[in-house]
Amino acid sequence: MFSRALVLAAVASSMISAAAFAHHGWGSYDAGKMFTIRSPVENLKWENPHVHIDVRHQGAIWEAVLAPPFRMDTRGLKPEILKPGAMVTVEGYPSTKVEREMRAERITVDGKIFELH
Amino acid sequence: MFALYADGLSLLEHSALGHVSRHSAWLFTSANLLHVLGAAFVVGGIGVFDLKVLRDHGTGAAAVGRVAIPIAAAGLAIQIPTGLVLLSVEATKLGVNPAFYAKLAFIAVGLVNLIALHARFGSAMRGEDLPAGVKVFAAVSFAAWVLTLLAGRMIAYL
Repeated sequence: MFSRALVLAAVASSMISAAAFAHHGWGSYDAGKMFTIRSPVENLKWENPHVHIDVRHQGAIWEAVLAPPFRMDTRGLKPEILKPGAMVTVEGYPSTKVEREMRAERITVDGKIFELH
Repeated sequence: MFALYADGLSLLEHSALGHVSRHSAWLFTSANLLHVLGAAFVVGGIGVFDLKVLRDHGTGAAAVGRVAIPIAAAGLAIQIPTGLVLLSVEATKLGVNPAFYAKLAFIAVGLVNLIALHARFGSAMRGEDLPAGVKVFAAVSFAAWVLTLLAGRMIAYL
């Protein structure tokens, strides 16, 4: 009984962790399609679990997902720096699930590059 | 039924708790850290007890239970408030995440299993040694809480 239960638990958990591995970090973003948006910040949402900014790209509004507020803060990115109107360059990957959503890998503001991951 | 659930999620997200959790870096981060600690307590505490039951067929289980079960209970006491903070930041999204459904299902299995265990063995649960039949419940419990933890972690990736 003991070993059967262990085998059961091991099989079930390895199935789940295999799925978790497949999704790790960039599950719903296409890492093969890195692109760059240069735009003024249109709107800033400084919120958990991730900070979001709206930026303009090829005539459309894109929502860029940045880091959690806590990490933004420790990397020196304060809400004041990303106020609407601030010119930013965001590099990241498009979502495979949500249209015009990008997960940002890094952001450049005032000539300073901030890595987000 | 689902409409009621969706309303509840929306209510939580738009509550003062949701608002504070979204806007306070410290509250959210602390809840995040403590939710990991709570998970360790729940799975660690229950896991040690379940494995003791499985290994020794119920013999001497109560002595281990006196140490392990309060740890699991403390974990549960941490998980509920911290989990509410984590859920409240985007309850309408997280609440319908497939991994979150799986997590709720595994929690339900764990709780129903606990109730069934006590219903089945009654006062025999108060002895120093438990009947060997408890092993089936220990195995289900171990799987249910480990899977709850894994499903919970999986929410971030779906």
